[in-house]
Amino acid sequence: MADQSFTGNGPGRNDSEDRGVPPISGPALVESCMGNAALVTMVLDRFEQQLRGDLDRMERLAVAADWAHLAMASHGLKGAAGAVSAMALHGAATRVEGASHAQDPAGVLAAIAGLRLEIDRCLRFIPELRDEFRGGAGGEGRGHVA
Amino acid sequence: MDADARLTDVPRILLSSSLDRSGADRRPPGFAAQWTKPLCPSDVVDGIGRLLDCGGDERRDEERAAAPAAAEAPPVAASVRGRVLLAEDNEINQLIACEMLSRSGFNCTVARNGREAIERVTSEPFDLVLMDCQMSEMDGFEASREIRRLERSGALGVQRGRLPIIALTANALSGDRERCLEAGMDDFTTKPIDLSRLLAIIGGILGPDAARRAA
Repeated sequence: MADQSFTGNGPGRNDSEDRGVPPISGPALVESCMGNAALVTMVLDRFEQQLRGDLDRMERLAVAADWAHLAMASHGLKGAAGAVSAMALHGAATRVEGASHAQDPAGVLAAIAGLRLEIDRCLRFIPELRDEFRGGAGGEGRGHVA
Repeated sequence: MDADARLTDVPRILLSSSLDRSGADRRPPGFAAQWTKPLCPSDVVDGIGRLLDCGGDERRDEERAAAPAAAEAPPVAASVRGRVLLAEDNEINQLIACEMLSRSGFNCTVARNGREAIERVTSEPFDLVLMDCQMSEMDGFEASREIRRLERSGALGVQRGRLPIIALTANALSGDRERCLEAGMDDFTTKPIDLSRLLAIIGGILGPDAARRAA
């Protein structure tokens, strides 16, 4: 695994992107946050931070064939993705977790390539979504959104 | 069923494992309700009761006009309040779950792993624990087993009684529920949290019916 790259192995676009489905469902996230716009933006900030750190860490774990920790990391990412209603990312993290449990290097490689695509989509989308809630809520995002 | 005249009035409920939380109604025509698995017994009993009281498809329009998610599980009784310990290692999940619980009238305290959860329950009174199963330092299974051991030894104080523990898991695999129950947990719900489902479970544990059963 040491020489394997995790970039450029997957397709350029994924199914969700092809269907025009946003990577994070804003309405579902607002519902989870009970309409609290300030919490929505805080959650998006934390999620963005987590995404930036998780991919690098998971790639290192995969290169080291550390399946147990990779499964744990992907499980954590799956949970966070579900909480923010990033369901395509949830699915991608689930596939990494499954391949890690199976100790399947090729499966992990493919799953991480898919994960990278979904993380990139989320990272591109988060600023747009955050601006929407900051702008829409008024009062610097301290209000509630319907 | 559509072809059999004897069955046309029988309400049908679609069971799915979908994680779609948008609240959108995705039932195919002819289904009176859609429930997401895993189901808790109180959801099943209450849901069937509603359908049989109100009729099948007539109910569907009412549900759609009202809040779709809330229609799937009863809201927690107004009298059910208390101190909840949330054992969860992911900050995003902590933020969202605490907001849900606080807005529902509960006082929420966070423990970042199973070990911290044990420390909390030994030093403070709680009415309920929401326990993530998979945490980095000590997982929810081990923490729950330890809490039950402490209860048996009297270390948590006999006046407090048995502390209810509800498992939270990002998995929805068969066998997970059994594993949670074996570890001493009382019920099980999946993440992302469905608030209506969670409140129904809490209501079943802390509500007036539970108090009557315990009396």
